[in-house]
Amino acid sequence: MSEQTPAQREMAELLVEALNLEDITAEEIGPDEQLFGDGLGLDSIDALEIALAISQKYGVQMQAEDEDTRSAFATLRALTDFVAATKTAG
Amino acid sequence: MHSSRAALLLRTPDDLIARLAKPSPLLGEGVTSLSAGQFLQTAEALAAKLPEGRYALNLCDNRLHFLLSFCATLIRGQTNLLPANRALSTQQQLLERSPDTYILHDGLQELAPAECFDLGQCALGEFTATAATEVPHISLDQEAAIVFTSGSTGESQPNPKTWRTYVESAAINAHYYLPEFDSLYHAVATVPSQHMWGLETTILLPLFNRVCVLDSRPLFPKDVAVALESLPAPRLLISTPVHLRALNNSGLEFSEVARVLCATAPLSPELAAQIEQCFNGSVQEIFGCSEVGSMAARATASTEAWTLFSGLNFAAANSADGYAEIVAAHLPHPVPLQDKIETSDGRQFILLGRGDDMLEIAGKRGSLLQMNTLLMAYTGLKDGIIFVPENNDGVNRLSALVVFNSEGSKEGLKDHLQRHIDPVFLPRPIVAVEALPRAESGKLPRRVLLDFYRQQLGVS
Repeated sequence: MSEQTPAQREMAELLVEALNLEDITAEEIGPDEQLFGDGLGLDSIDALEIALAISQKYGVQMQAEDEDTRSAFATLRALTDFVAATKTAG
Repeated sequence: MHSSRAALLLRTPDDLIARLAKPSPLLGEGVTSLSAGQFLQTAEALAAKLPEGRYALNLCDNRLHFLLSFCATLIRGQTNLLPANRALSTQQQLLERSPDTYILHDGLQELAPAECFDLGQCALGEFTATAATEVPHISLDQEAAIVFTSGSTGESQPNPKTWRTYVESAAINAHYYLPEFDSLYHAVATVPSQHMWGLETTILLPLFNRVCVLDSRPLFPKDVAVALESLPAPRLLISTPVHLRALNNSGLEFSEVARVLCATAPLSPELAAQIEQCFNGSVQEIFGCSEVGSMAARATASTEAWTLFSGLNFAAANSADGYAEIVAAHLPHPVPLQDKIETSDGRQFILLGRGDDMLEIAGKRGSLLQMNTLLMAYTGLKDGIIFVPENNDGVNRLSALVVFNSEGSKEGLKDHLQRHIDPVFLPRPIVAVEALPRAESGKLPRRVLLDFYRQQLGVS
């Protein structure tokens, strides 16, 4: 398992807080672990919670209609990269 | 006297029935919307291409694909199987239940081994224009669809409906869904077509009323904002409390929505009022269940009492204990309600809530008792309980307190539960403890349980 970058750690902390994931800590979420389905087992309600937390913290609005965002939600690494890229582009 | 058949749709041929957010390979690059006449031609063309089979397991995600395939199967005399989710295990379960089934989908990757028909790979070509297609009439006794609701243990419960039930209930529902009947409404929905709420509002409503539905299913608030902006007024938004809460908290500006329809879980009057302000329109909350469909409405921002739809009645004999049954001409038999009600005139009623055992999360219904039975079926446990924690304003999730024996582990327990329980019911967190604070009788009063749970969270 690879190490989290500081930005990934910050995002992992946001996930744990937004979703009340008390039985997993931020540092336990691997950058390439699947967030949905078999991995962390998150679902579309969680996706909404994550989107809300991200919009409040980073001012970035998630959109699933474009394929970019769909893949952005796959892993902690992808999610962190997406927010960084969208913040810069915005 | 009833005739034995009823029209597949009741729309003027040039009135719009659907709009496309992006081109569909089924219809070709240039098509951005479909009139009722074009829709009918397309549904007929699709019907001719569908495989043989008694049942079509309809997994189409795109709403127009679903609407077309739903109608095409009816034209072919087939029955739609509508699952609670599209998971592989659910597909397999329904295929085992009804062997004479093929899968109808629009590009789903994970498919059970069965005959599959992919709408995304099927091109129907140009509209033949001119000649008006005659509207097909469907036998009222035809089994149109079986809506499956996911039980908490993953075992799907079937709700079979004839075409008669859909035609007659759709006529009643429209009076409560739509503020008025003259205008063409453009609808955006965040709910899947396969769910009873989505089926009634986004499939049956446009077939019989002046509603044009957008084919995409936006999830995030920004998606919803973009979808609404792409449509002309008056707009209709069909959603759930979870989605509406996200929209309200997003801080985004939305186009005006004349009517917001909400169902699947209780909506608070506060959120209803905020949503009315957010969209500058009215919020109508609908109460229903998969067995009956929509059955009552209220303007939640200003009214607590529900109004039972005309054509439906409470069976008075059963209301003594607070539970009632619903009877209607279009329902084959009385349906017992899962909620207690209080009514003085049999038309207006107050919901008193579910029996203690019944849960509803994300529109899915489950039994706490069944989930606890499943929990204890895990061999690595000495003791444990799944319960509803105190409401913390967010989405309600279940929690679990467990006492492992030497074989048990959190991972093992999660695997066990994941195999049997719908994901929305998976307890989170699962907290391992030394022992549960049971009384000598073995009882675990809720107050004691919640205090103990709070202490555990504080410690960890």
